[in-house]
Amino acid sequence: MQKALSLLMIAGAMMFLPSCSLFFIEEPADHPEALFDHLWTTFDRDYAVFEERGVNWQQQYDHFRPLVKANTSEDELFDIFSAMLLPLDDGHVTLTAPGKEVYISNTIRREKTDDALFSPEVIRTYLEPGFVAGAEDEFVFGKIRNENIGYISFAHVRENFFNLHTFLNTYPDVKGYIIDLRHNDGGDFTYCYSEMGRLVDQDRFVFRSKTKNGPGYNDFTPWFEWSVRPASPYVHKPIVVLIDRYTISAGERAAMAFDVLPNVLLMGEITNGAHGTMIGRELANGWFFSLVTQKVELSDGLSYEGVGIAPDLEVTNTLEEILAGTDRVMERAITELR
Amino acid sequence: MINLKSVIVFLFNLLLLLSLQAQTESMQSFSVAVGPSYIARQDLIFSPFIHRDLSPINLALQYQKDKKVHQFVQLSYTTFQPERKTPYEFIYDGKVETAYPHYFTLVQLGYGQGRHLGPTGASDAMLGGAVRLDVQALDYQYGRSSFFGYYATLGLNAWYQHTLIKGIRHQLNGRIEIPLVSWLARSPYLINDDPYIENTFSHNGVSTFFAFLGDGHLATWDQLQRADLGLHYQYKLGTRFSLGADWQLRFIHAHKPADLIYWQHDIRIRMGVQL
Repeated sequence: MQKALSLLMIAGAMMFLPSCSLFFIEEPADHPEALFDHLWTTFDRDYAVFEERGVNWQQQYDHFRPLVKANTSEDELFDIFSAMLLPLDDGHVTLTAPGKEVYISNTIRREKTDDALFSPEVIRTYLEPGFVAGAEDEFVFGKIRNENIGYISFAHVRENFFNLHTFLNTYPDVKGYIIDLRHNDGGDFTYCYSEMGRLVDQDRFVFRSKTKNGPGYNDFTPWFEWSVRPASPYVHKPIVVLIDRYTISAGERAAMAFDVLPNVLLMGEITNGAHGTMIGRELANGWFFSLVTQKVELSDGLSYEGVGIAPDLEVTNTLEEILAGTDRVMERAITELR
Repeated sequence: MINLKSVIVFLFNLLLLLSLQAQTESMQSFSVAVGPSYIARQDLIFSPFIHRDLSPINLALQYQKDKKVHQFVQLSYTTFQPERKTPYEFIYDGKVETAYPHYFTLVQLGYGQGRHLGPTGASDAMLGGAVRLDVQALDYQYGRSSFFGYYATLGLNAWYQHTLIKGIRHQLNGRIEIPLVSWLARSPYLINDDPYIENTFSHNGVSTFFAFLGDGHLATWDQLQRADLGLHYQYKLGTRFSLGADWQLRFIHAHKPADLIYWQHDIRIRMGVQL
């Protein structure tokens, strides 16, 4: 009995081990100054593209740290954090807090600059009846009215790219294809790269990337090269790929991949310029933030992070035209393929 | 170069050899155990915070075969939803959205053998080995974004069991298990990198799982510290059925590519049947 009791006491004592913080690394504290330090330090250690974004992060610390006091309110702290992240102008940098609109560092996405110049409703008027649309328009494909041209759009880059095969099989005899990546908000670029093999006749190098793998400024993995590889049956037709300032992240990597094909014309506006991989993080008060941990270079050895992928042919809609039911970019793409 | 394939082939041959050796007339039993489980997990790849959660349902199944050689196959499954703060609402694009807790799925599969240290039935001590696959699938939620992560080990473990209390109908065993060597696979330093992304290229869950596992490395005690400590009580209800209770404590520490400190407590009620 005494033995059983001793065992029970030992087991009972050990049950408290996991709840004891003694065995863990100290967690960041939950007060305004510690929250600031946690956010700033995480960016300082893990954000990969300060240079590309032209931001001196130490200067941000020197400017904003004195504004944070022990009695800084949550609203004030959110504003200070937002102001500190503002010059990054990065579509992948966000801050999330209870009851607030998610703060996006990128001005275009945050202020929805010219968001209305892209209209799925207007696009549908260019399609023959019987076009196919996925849930929430994650893909839409069909044939252009009175034209022998196939059209497909992708709202993001995920499983919706599996429909590229169906699209190519449905319209094998058209003159050319319009692939619409405008307002594509990204996802996982591998869905595009694995599915576009039929449009490629040989391995084609697209970009190389390297990711932070340590706390030092120069701690990166070796460069990793990404290519698109051919799959059969090969489809060789003129393609116009549409892009705009809301084409971001994996959407931009998709645009990069199409851009290496000799039969592709990129048309529209310069893309958002945020295409390194991103990660999420949490703060002690439950807020979330996201940041970029990767550098990306195209075949010319240059980074387009913060710059964007430029179209071969720049065409921009106007609000008047869109309100009148005209998508000038679409019409120019049709003209190119006619 | 040691890769995952050669480790699996070695372990398979070892298991085959040991199970052939153990083919004698035997007593077989099957048991189901359920009960609460508690974790405290700090994984610096994902967060500097300790994620704690109590899961009401922790399921463990065990098939056991006893004669001269004691053999067992175990499977356990638990999910946890730790959170820093109560899920809250935020606004994106003018719409209200909810921040969800993280979601961890833990699966463990093990096969083991052991022998009494001394004549069967007379000795209180048993020593053995086990092959154990331990998978932690981690879904970290950060508001609008979520990120998948993983911790997986395929370990060749040693265990020691001692009968602490023995009566006509009841028995209490104490048990400790530690890995001798493990194949250890974890998410990269900052959640994802190019090899990680390449592993997902097939868009097939099984292929991706083995690709992640294949990117691991052989880890000895200096790289992976782990121990499973347990007390297992069994009370015979008759000739066929038994009722019992398990208490188990698991500790894991790995420091590459970033520190992982992990504690798990399981308390389960076990129902057994003699086959």
